Amino acid sequence: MRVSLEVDFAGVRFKNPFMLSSAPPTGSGEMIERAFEEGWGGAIVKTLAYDIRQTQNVQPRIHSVHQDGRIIGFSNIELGSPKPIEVWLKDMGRIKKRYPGHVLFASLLHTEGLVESQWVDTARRCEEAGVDGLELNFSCSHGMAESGGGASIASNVDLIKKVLGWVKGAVRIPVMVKLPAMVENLPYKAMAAKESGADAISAINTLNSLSGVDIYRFIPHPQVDDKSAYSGLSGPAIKPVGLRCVAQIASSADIPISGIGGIVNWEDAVEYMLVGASTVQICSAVMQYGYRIIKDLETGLRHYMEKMGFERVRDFVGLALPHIKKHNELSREYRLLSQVNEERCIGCGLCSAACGDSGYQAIKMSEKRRPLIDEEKCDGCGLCTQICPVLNCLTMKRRI
Amino acid sequence: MIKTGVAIASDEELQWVLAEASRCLFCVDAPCIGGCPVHIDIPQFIRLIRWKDFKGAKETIKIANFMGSICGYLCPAGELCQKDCVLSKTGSPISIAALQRFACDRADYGSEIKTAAGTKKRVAVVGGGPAGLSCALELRGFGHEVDLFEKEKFLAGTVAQEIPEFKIPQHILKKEIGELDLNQIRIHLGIEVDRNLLEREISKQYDAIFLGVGLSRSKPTDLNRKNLKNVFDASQFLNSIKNGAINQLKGICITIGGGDTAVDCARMALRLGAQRSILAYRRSQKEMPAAKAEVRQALEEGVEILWQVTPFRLAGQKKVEAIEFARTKLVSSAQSGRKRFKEVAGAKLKLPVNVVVFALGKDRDDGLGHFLGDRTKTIDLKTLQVGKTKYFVGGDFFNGGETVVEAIADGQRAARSIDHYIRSG
Repeated sequence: MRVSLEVDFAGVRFKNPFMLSSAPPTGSGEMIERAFEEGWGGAIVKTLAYDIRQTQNVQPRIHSVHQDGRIIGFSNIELGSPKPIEVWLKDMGRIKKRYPGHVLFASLLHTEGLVESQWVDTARRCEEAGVDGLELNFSCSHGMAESGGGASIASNVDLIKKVLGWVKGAVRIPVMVKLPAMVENLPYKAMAAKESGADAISAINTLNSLSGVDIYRFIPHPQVDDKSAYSGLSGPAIKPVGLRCVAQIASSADIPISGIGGIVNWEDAVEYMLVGASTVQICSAVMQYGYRIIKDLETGLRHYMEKMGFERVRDFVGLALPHIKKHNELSREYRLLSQVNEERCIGCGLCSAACGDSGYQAIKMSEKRRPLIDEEKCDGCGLCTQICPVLNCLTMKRRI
Repeated sequence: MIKTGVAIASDEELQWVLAEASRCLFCVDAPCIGGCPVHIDIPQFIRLIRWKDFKGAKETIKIANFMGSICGYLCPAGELCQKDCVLSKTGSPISIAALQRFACDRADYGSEIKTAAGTKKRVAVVGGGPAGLSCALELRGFGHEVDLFEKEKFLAGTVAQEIPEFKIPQHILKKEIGELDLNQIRIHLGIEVDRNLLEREISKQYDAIFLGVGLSRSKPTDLNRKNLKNVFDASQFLNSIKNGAINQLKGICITIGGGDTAVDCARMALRLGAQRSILAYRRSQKEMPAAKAEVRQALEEGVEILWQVTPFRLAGQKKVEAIEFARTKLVSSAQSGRKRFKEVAGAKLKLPVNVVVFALGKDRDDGLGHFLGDRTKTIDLKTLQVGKTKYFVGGDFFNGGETVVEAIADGQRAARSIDHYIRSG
């Protein structure tokens, strides 16, 4: 079967659905060109600053959240691009000439206060430079959001409509709105964006966070001359939040969605697509491993589609949505029971501790260190199957 | 290639240690604890390492084993705690001994005996090795007055005298002994308790006596009738290396034996400069009692092993110059599961040699060995009490030569029995 990774997204043709999000991996024209050489389908330039005196960065500005030595998230206090718009316009023009088959969006706008002329002017100049579309950053959770931009725009429907109206009135290229996760009534905000002419929505951005605290010096991270600020959390830790947001937007507004948040591998990307995203954007995984991850993203997605019989990405976009219901619509007749595969069990006993101390005291260990499940007591919560360290050892079966 | 065998304790290793600790599943009633003769709460100390509370980890280890550091170096962990790690079933077990070494090396910790109300009962502990020290510390904790008699001028017994530096660095041993709360025990160094002293004085003055004097008599060989030079027994050999009397070897060194001590001698010979170090064992690799990991390391370092040979003659003028072996074959034994060996008629092997070490094991020395004599049969294997007497035994003196950790376990067990004996008597 012939599988195509090509995607038509808000009228723009992508050779594959993988984009670099507006972030450190798209920090310069040279970097984006290398990313396109590696095979990325698209890139969104790091959010442009109207006045680069406002994007003077601090050092350090990136911290990570670890578990057992592995990164589960980054939290950053980096601002918009410190490169002048003039430089970017030249770079964007060159990139589009050299890589016409790759999609380039500009991201607007790092500035203080909402000034119509700044948005209109920047949007027009980007369009003239030849970009395929614009992404409006209504979602940056730190820095910008503290000075009236970024996520503070998305917190107010009137502001969304106003800024979107300015930009839509100025350009003909597609305009995508990037919405944050931590905002009141996200579906309502998405609908407002669509009604005001947005051609697509991307979600989510980083979550406003405090990365961690140095417990011996009492200073949170990242530490800038012994002081810190609230930071934007990204990476695998936020993926479930991103999935929820994309699903909510897809269920309420009929609009192309670019899914963002903790995508590391092709399976993550497929999950976002199944809840309604037709392209995905990636930053943190590139920050950790570099552009070369596009190889495994692409081949993994291709093989998944072959296995599932999907010719195009659109064949499976949103297929998970009908399975999301209101909690009170879920069946109460569906009853489960934990069961153990004794051949797989290694006898660690974690299930008995979990069930005993966080469940229903239904699991005791036998003399031979195998779980004995009390069918009367098991309440079907499923905790044991989740904490069991062995694949396919504890599973839930239907009660007859 | 000879490895130093020195433990993990540097910052470079910290990352490995944390990653290894994070693999531990924190099993409920963890099987590894059952595999440890002194039942260290292994998952607990590993979890404390994982959360970087190294002092907490060390406390957890030391509460169960006052020689936790030394045992981290010496325990054949692959045959004890690690053998029972459930992760063996899906991959490789946790390197428990390495983590234990790390915690003990890395953290500062000084023990303090929490003494129960004084009983005014007096116990004599004979022998200041792992078993005796362990028994003495426990007994003091139970509130008894303890006198410990050690024939050498230092504590730790075999660990200090014979186990080579490459297995247990001197500074680690010193640090561990230094961390003990010995002030509450009366320690008498340089006092050799012979049968006379034991029966005439000590037995009259004390309510109970623990004998943990180890084994001091090397099993004899009758091959060196001409008293050739450069023929040693293992204790002599290892002890002379430790005290500096032997600091260099030349030529070919052949060690006879198949236990851990024999392997130590063979590995030590290479370290002292022997061109070849050959270990000669009368049975096959399968029957060899030495810890498998030790044998593997010896082979990696370049020790050669001759299986199924038994020496029958030493030749030379003044110094030993050659050794002759007969080949053996193994025959099943009806009585014990272990195979017996027989010489194969006519199958001989003659090798030039410069140093011969006989590591045939050790026995109880004549004095206290004879004191125990037939009473050995009356030792209660659970309580370690000799008959119904006030005597208790443990360690190598009792078990014929096992690991340090088993000696410590014996000392603890005997201390509990002695406490019970004293309080109920």
